[in-house]
Amino acid sequence: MPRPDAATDDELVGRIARGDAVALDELFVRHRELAYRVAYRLLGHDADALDAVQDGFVNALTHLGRFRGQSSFKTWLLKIVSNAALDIGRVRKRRDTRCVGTPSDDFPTAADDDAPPDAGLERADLRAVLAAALAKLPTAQRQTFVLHVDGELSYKEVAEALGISIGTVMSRLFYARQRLKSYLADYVCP
Amino acid sequence: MTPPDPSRYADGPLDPAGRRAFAPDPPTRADWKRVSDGIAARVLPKRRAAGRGVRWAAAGVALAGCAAAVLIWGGGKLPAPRPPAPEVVKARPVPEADPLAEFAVLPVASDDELRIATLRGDWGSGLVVGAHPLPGELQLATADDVTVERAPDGVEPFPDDGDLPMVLGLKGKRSGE
Repeated sequence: MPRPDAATDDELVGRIARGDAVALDELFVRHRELAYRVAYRLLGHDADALDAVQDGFVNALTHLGRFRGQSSFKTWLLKIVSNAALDIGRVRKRRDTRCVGTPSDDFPTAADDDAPPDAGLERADLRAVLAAALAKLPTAQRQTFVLHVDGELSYKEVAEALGISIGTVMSRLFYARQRLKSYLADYVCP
Repeated sequence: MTPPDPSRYADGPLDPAGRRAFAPDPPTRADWKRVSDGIAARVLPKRRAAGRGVRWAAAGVALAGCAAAVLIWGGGKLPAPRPPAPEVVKARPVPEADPLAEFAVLPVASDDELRIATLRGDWGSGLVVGAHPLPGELQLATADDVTVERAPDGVEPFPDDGDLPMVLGLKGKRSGE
């Protein structure tokens, strides 16, 4: 959250357009974590997610002509970061084998024979579980869900970002939740 | 600390504690620096180059102005103006892939919103008179509601990830089938 006296995103974008490196750094620090969370959730891989964040910031700042006045910079940025992440995901196959293949094989479950009975679901496993479940959603549902849940965009902002109606956002979220719950239902936390 | 139940994620948006629990590990300071440097290298020089381009363009305009002034004051003849450029015809917009994408529920017109002026072709047996064939609103189906048993080779029944709303109708059999 920026300080009350901090420059607005629009002011920073204006300064960046004039070549201000300090403004670029401030804008990057302000939005990088949210952008990374969205990219990571769409890719399931940290290095790819960082590439998507970089591509997203570059594309957002070099195509400002399409942005001005239509939405907040955050909405614009997350839209482009999520598109960059989906592009990277299409081009590069996921390198983490836990996130590909048949999901039932990918999901690390508490019932795994090799796992000690009290091992619990570690954070890395939890992320792998979510990545595998999200990977099973259709792309449009996945992008909509991640922008809303991880990108913290409202229905209206997601609709603006994706160029769809709020009704379509709600419809996609409804089906995404249903499917995710179904995929994740096999998990019982120890 | 006990990890959270994964199914909670599906109920998102999450509260701050939930966001922390499900968040990926943050990148290191060195990772952020590498990304930040990469962005600056690709954004800032481009902007400076754009600024230089504007300055060069301004210099070019000034030079052209000077040349025109010399021609006029020197009594030289300016070339005849070019004929007007042909009219630019706007290309027809490409239709959206899914004209129903905006609708989760399709409103259906009622009889007081319609006036049939003429009917072409053989509509006599198919025109419904006296009752609405689709009264009220039409709930659109999605890919989840449909099972495709057969599709022609090369035809993708559900393009664009299959979550688009769609209208279904009964297909009548042709005579002799």
